[in-house]
Amino acid sequence: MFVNPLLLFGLAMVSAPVIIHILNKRRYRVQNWAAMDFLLAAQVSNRRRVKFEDLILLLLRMAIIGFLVMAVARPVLRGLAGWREDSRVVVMDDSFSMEAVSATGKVFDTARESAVSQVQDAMGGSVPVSVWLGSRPESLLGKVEGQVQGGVVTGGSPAGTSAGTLASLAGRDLLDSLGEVATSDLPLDFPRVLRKLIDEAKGSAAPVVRSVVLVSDYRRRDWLEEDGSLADSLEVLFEEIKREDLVDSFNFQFVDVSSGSLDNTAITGFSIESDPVLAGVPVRIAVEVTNYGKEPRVRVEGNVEVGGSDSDEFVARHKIPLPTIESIAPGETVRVEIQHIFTEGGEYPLKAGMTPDRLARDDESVLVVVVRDSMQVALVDGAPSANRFASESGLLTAALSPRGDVPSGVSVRLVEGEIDGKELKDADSVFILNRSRLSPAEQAALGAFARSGGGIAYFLGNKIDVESYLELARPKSNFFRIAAQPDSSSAVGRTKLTPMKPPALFPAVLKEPAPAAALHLDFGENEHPTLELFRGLKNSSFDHVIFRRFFLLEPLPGTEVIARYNDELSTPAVIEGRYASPRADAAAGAGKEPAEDPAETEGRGRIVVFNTTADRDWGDWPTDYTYPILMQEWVRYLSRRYSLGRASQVGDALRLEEKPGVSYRIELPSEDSSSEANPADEVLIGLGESYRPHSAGLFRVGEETASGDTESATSSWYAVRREAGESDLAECGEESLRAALADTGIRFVIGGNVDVDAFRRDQEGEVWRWLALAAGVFLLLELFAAWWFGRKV
Amino acid sequence: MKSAGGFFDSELIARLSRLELVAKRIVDGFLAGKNKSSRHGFSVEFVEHREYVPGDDLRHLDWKVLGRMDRYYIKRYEEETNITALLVLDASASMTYSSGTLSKFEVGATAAAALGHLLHRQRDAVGLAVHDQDLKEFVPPSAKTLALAGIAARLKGLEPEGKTSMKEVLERVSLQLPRRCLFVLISDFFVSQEEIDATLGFLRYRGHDAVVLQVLDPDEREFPFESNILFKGLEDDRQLLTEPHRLRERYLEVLEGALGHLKKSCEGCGFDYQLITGPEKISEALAKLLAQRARRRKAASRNG
Repeated sequence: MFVNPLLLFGLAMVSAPVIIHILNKRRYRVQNWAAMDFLLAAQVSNRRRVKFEDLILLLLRMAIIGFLVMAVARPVLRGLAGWREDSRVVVMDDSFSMEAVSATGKVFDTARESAVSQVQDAMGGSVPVSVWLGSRPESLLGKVEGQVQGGVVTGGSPAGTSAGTLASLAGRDLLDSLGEVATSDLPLDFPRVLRKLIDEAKGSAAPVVRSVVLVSDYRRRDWLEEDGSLADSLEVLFEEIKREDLVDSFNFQFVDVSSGSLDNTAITGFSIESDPVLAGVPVRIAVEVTNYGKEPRVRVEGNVEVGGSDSDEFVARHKIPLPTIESIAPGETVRVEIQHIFTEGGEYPLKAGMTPDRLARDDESVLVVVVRDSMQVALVDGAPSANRFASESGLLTAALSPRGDVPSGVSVRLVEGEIDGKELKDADSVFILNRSRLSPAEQAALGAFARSGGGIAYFLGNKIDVESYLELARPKSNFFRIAAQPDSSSAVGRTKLTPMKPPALFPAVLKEPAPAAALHLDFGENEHPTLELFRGLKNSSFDHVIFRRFFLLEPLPGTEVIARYNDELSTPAVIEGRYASPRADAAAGAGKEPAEDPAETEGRGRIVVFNTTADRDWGDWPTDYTYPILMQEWVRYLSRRYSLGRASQVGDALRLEEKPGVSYRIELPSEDSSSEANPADEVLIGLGESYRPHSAGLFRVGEETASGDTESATSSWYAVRREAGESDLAECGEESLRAALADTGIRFVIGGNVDVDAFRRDQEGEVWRWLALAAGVFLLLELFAAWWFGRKV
Repeated sequence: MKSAGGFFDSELIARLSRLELVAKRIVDGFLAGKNKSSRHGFSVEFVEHREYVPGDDLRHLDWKVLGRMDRYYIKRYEEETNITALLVLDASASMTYSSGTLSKFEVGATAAAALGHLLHRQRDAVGLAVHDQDLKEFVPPSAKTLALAGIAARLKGLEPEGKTSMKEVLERVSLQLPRRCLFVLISDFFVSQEEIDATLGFLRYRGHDAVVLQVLDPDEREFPFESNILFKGLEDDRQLLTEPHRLRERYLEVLEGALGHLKKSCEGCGFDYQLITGPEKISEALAKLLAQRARRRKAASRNG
């Protein structure tokens, strides 16, 4: 194995002494001579000696040249102490930013050429080479092991069994794959590649030097923190390399194929103002445009295309121009809005686009809007009555869906008997009114309902069984929840079941009913969304409402008290909780959205307790004008979020509901150029599987039942969007990167024209010094022999 | 080739004239001189007594011994005679080699002329034989004054060529010489050792004296070449492409071996040997040669 194998062609120079000898023989002068007898006699006795001397000198000179050429070619000998096997790891950055077009062409095309060159160079040196995609490190793009004759990848019969033939075929496949691969919409994830390589190095007993060549555009956000230090995710891994004594196992070459920082403007936000969206109700659609460049961007124009809800492909039915943005300062984000009315319920795919720039793909974005005809509310009345103006359900129905010409957008359905999944199937929220207790089956149904995003509202009353509600607040039994495995081996991932303690279905610990008194509500400074209509008149709007009885109770940790009674204890009057796992509770406590669990982000799972009755038993409120207003606001607030679940980010799993017997057929966006990253047209996802798209766009997902019942199968739109920051093309710069890497202790070079094998210079197992020494020794021998043989020195 | 008078370097001759060229062996001579005859004649120097035998010339009877001892002894004398010298100069192609101003042939010719002049001054008879594989020029030995001019004339205009063959040439020449004489062999002796041995053995067998002057170029003696050279033979088509500096050591070994062999052969035959490497060494070499012969004469005199 040689570090500079091409220099072995210099071995042809070994023949130089022979050629010079022959040429010298042809250059002579003529001398007439008398004493030929003596001369010939001397020559006869000298002939063999002279030939022998000539041979020795020739061999010595050839050996000198041979040793020198070999020394320059720098062979690495197996078996020497410290010798390590070579392995080339080419990491090609296929992240979204590589799609940018610089003055010299598309950055990704430059990266592809560099990667191909690296692979061919490695194969030329018979070095095993593997290629990773920087944004999709879950699997190798390809790998070539063994010997490739002369580095020339040629075709061959698959029946060939020689290692060289197999390597050639693998090499050809790898180069073909490199030629076909396209960028994804994911960010560069070099830490994950490095994580795999470190694990591989730690688990390998064989001494291997991995020459890691990362071909990338080296954007600042991938490598550096705000203060210019190395990104924490990388620093931790480089520290591990040093700590695990793996420094000699890695050589890093950072090849920058970008042509400096590029200006870029991108659509970084595309959203609807309210969710759910109701048919016939105006909704505002917002588009955010961010300027990542160093110069102001002026007169940015764009539009929003609204697709039809009844088509399996995106067909623009409406094209709504966006207000022109006169100027966007560097680093600034400008938000523009349009208003649109969806006349009918259904799923609407939307596309936003603006004037394209050097990175055109982020100049558009997608959105799916699920429009509901109305919000469905299920009422569970614990004390039903035929008098709809006296019963709790009757008064609430009147409040939520009053009769008249103007629809409230709320449909109410009374649940009679046991609460089960079927009753709650289409409901957005369920109101449980003075229900004494909930059976385990009802608790399970309500839990599933809340997990799927449905909202639960409780009204109390004199029929409440305190012990039963204490059990709702402090559940004992375990249940299994489904969580996606974070590190799947491919875009299609497996999920696993994890035992968890179930969340509380009731957000407070009930004690006992309080004595009768005349109390009012106190909202304090609370700015709860349901109170927005009342704005600064919250308390005054409710001053005339009298509450006579309520439960003494204690809110569970993590819940929020929306309103209190003005009694001595300021007893909570309205408590909001959330049906969430302890992990989600912790996240909520830390002020973060629990983004890991689809069930918790897709819907809301909100639970509210009104510490009063839904009828006039414990107060006047059900007959006050504030009652229907607040109840309708609460219905809207508790309702599922339909459109949110249809949007996800590239690399995250699509939020597909786990349904027994149902699989999903995902059609990949055909119009989107990024679909090259996924050569297949569609993916089938079964139970327990998830799908993480690598490219952005509108995905059509169809449900299929195990029985093949296609009539009941439905299709839905899903919008997959890029991470906003990926559009920031600011590069980190060679000097900054060098400074950041300087303290890591790793062996690295930066630059496209640097041969990564230059590291071999200091690598044990090389014998070029010995060869140079041998050449020196042989030179001395030649000088001595030439002198000894009577030659001119 | 130098001019006719060029070979008779006056300075050289002046230096050599202080020395005597004395033949080690006694040779027959026409002229009385400082060279002793190999025949016991009746000249001035007494050599030995021997008993009278009938037939002896009574003039040589030692009357004093007869008077004292009443016995008949004949007195024997050593007769001083002139020598007959033949300058034998190699004119083969190998003698054309030159690394400087003079070729080996020119150096050899200069040495031959100097020795001829010296011998002539001693009133010795001097002749010349020039050869390659054949006898190219022959001047019979003569003590006459014109003989020296004849030798000079013959040396003029000679172009060395062909291969070297000494024995056959000397056999032919010796037939034309009436008595034993002094052969001055001037050559690079780039011939086989067998031929050298045969040539010197032949001269020794015939009772001749010989002086061997081996002429080499400084290049041949030092072999100073460095870069790649294609050596081409001067006397034949043989050639060798080599890196000479790598052969130098071995070449010099082979050369030294050949020189040593020639020197040893000369000593074995009782001949004098002297090496001349380049024109600058001519006078030095001839001086050494004459000194060498003088020492031998004295040694021979002491031995009786």
